[in-house]
Amino acid sequence: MINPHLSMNWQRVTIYICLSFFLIFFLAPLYVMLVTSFKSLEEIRESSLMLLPSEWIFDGWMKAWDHACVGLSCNGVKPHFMATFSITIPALLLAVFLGAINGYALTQWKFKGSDLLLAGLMMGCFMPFQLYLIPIAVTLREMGIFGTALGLILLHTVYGVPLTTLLFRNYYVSLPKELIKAALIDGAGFFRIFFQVVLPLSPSIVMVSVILIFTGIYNDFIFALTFGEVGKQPVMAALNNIVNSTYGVKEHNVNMAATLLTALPTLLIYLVAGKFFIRGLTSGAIKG
Amino acid sequence: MSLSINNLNKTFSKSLVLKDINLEIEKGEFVVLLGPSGCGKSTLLNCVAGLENVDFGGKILINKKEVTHLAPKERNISMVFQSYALYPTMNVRQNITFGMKCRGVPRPEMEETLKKTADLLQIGDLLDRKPASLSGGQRQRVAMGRALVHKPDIFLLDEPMSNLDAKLRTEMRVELKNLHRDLNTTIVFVTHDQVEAMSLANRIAVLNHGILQQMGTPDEIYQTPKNLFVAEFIGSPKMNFLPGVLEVSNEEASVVTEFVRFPVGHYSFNETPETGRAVTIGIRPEYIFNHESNPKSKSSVCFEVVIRNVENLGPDLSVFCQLGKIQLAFKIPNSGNKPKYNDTVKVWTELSECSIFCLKKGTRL
Amino acid sequence: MWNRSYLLTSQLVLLPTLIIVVYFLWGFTIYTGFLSFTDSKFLPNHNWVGLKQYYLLWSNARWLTAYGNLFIFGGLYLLICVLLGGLLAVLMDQEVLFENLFRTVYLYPMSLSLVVTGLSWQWLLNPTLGLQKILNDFGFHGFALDWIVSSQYSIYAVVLAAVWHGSGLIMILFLAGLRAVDEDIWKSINVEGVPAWKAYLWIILPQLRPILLAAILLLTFNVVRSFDLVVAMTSGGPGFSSDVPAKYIYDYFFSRSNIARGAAAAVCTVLTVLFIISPYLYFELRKRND
Repeated sequence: MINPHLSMNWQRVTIYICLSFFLIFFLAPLYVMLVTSFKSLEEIRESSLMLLPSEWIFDGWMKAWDHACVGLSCNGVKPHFMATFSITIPALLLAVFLGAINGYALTQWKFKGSDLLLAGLMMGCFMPFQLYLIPIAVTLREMGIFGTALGLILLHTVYGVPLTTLLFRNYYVSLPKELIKAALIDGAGFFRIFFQVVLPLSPSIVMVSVILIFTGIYNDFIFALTFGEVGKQPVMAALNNIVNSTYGVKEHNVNMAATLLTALPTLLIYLVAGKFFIRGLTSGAIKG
Repeated sequence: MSLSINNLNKTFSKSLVLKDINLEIEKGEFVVLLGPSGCGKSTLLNCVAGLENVDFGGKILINKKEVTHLAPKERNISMVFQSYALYPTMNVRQNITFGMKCRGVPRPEMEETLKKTADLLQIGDLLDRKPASLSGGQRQRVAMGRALVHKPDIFLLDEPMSNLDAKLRTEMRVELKNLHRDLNTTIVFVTHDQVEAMSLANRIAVLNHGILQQMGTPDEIYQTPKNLFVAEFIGSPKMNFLPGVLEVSNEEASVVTEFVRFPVGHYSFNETPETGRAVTIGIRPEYIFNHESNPKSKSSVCFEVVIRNVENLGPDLSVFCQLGKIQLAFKIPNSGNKPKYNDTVKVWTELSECSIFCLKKGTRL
Repeated sequence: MWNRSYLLTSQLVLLPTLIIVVYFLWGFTIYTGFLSFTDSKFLPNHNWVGLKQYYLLWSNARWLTAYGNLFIFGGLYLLICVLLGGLLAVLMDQEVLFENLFRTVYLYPMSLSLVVTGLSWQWLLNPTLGLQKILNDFGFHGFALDWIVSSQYSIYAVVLAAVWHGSGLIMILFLAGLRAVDEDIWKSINVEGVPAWKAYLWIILPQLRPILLAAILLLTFNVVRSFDLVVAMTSGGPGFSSDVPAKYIYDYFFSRSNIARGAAAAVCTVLTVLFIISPYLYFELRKRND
C-alpha cells in the first residue's frame, strides 16, 4: 500500500513544515491559556509564557468557578452558566422548531411576496445588531421584560428564526414532492405530514441547526451585555467583566481559567460533533 | 365507480396545459392515459386526485358527485406514484396503515385490512422492513398495498412501472391485470409506454399538447387512428406514410403518390372524397409483405423498394427501405432469404387496413 | 396548488415569521433610520432635526478613526483570511497524513466566541508577559511586539486575532470546493503535464469563484459585527485608536446617551457596507445567471 504521491521529497517536506507552522499558530493561544491557568501569579510574572507550570495549581480554576467577581457580586462564572443555559435552551428549541416548520411551509407554495420574505430573512442573517438595539430596548421595555431572561429568550428566538428557516428551507426544497402528495392522498393534514413524514426525515439538518444556534446564542455578547439581567448576565458578558475589570490586581490565572471554562461547552460540541458543526458553517455558503 | 371529466382546462404560469378535456370512464374500466412526456397526462391525473387546482374552468365528477374542489382525502381515490413515494422512515406496516390512521379507522379493522392486503400482494413477510431495504418490485407492491387499503372508488396510477426493469415490468403487468379483474375497481393509469397501454387498457386516451387526441379501445386506437399524431405515436416500427393526391373516377377512389397508385375503393371515408385533395396514406408495417408471398386480394398493390437496413428481432425482421425519397418500414418473418443492403426488392401491400389522413389538417378522412 | 385547508395552514404557520421580518427586521431598521434624523439623547424622541446628526458625526474625530478602522480592519481581515485560507486548503489538498488533525486544529477557533478570542490574544500580545517577553528572553532584545498598547498599531492586533478566528472557515470552504473539482480535470492536467502550481492558479482556483463569493459575504458579515472582539481585546483603545463603527454606535447608544448620533453612525456603516458589497454581489450573481 505505498502511495507514490506520499514519497518524501523537498516539496512534501515544505508542505508539512507549512502545515505544522500554522498548527502551532492556531494552537498557541489555547496552550498558553491552559498553562497559565495552572500557574501561580508569581510564576506567571517570573517564568516564560510557554513553559509548563512548575507546580500545577488549581486555585485559578476554583476561584473562576465560584468566587471571581463580576461587577459587585463575587460568585464566579457558575451562576452565569445557569443563566446562560436557561436562556439558550428555550430559545434554541423555539428557533429550531419554528425554523423547521417555516422552512417546510415556505417550500409548499409560492406566493407573490415569497421572494420578498426570503430576502427579508436573509437580511436578518446579515445585518449588524447595532441597527436593532434601540428599537429592541424600546420594545422590551414596553413589554416589561427588559433585563430579564425572558427578554433574551425572545431576542434569540426572533433573531435565530431567520437562520434556521433558511437552513430548513434549503433542505426541504429537495424533498420529493410525491412524498407530500402521497400523504395528502392518505388523508393527512399539514401538521401530521410535517411531524410524521417530513420531520423524521430531517435529523441531520436538525442537528446542524441545533449546534449552529446553540453556539450562536451561547457565544452571544452584544445582547448579553445590553439586555442581560444584572447579576445574572450570560457567560460571555460576565467573562468580559471578570477579565477586563479595572479594579484590583489582575489575576491572570483566574482570568485564563474563566476564559477556558466558558469556552469549554462549544469547544466540546465542536470536538464531538465537528461534522455537523462544519456543515452548519458551510451550508450557508454552499447554497448560494 | 364512474369518473367524468367535463371541459377541463388547466394553466401553469399562464399557458394552457390541459385544453377542454372531456372523458367519461365507466365503473370497473381500466383506462390508460397515453402520451409523450409533457403532454399533460400526469397533470390530468393530479387534477383528478385533487393534487392540482382546477383553475381555468371544468368539472370533475366521481360517481356523479362533483369533486372539482374537494381535498384529495374527500374524493375516495388512491394513487400510486412513479417513485412509489414510500415514507422512508416508516416500515412497510406503518406505510400501509398510515392512511387508515389518518382517517381514523378503528384498530381491529385496520389490522384485518392490513392482513388481507398483505396476503393479496404477498408482502406479509416484508411488513417490518424499511423501504430502503426493499427491491424495486417489492416497493411497488407496498405502494399498491398502501393504495388498496383505502378501498378507493378509483385507482390512480402515475407511471408506476417505469422504474422497474423490463422483465419485472412484464410480470407486474400480468399481476396488475389480474388484480383489476379480481377487484373490479376503476383504474386510471398514466404511461408513455404504448406496450403497457395496449396490453393493460380497456380503453386508451391519447393526449398530446394538453389536448385529448382520441379515446377508444386498443383496437380502435391501433386500427383507426383519428389523426396523424395518434397514427404515428402508436405502433413500432411506426406507421408508414406516403403523401399523395386523391383521385375519384367511376365511384372508385384511389390515392396517387409519386411512384405508386393505391386503389382505396373499399375504404370507408368519413368525408366524401374529392379529387385533388392532398392526403397521406398510412400503412402499418405488418401490412407490407415481400414478394415471396403472393398478393391475392383485390386491394393490394405491388411496388419496388431499395433495402436500407435490416434489424433482426428473432422471430421477425424489421426491414427499413426507401421508395424514392420516402422511408418505409415493414416486418417479415425471419425465415428463408434475408434481404440485403442495397437490394432492390419487390413488395406488395394489403390496403384493407390502411388509413387516409388529410395532409393539411392531419385528421382521418 | 393543492388543496385549500393545507395551504391555509401553511400560510398561518408563516405568520410569526412574517411578524419577525416586518416588525423586528424591517420595522426596526426603519425606526433606527428615523431616529438618526432626530435629536434623541438618553431616550428616543421624535424631534426632527434633519441631517444635523450626520453633520456632527462626520466632524467627529473619533468617528473618523472608527470609520477608517472599518476599512483597515475589513480590508486586511478579508485579504489575509482569503489568502491564508486558500493556501491552507491547497496544502491540505495534497493528500497529507493526519489531515483530520490539521483540519480540526485549524477550525477550532471558529467554535470559540469572539470574546474568548479577544481575551486570549490580549494575553498573548501583552507586552510585559506575552510573546514579546518570550522573544526578549530568547535574546531578541530589540524585538517589540507591543501592537496592542500602541495607538498606531492596535487595530492590527485586532486583525491578527480576527484572522486567527476566521481563516479556518475559509480553509474549510475552499477545501470543500477543491474536493468537488471533477477528477477528470485533474487527469487531463496530469496528461498534459501542467505543473501543479500553474494548474491551481489558472485552472482550479478560478473554478472556486462562487465559493469565494460566499467566503467574502461571510467575512464581511463578521467585519460589520466586529463589536465583540474589539471590546474584549482593546476596548477600542489605547485612546480610540482601535475603535470601530460597531463599538462607536454602541457607546453612543448606551454610555454617551446620544441615541441619534449612534443611529446616524449605524446608518452610515450599513450603507457603506452595502455600497461596497452590492456591486460585487450584482456582478457575481449576474455572471452566474448568464
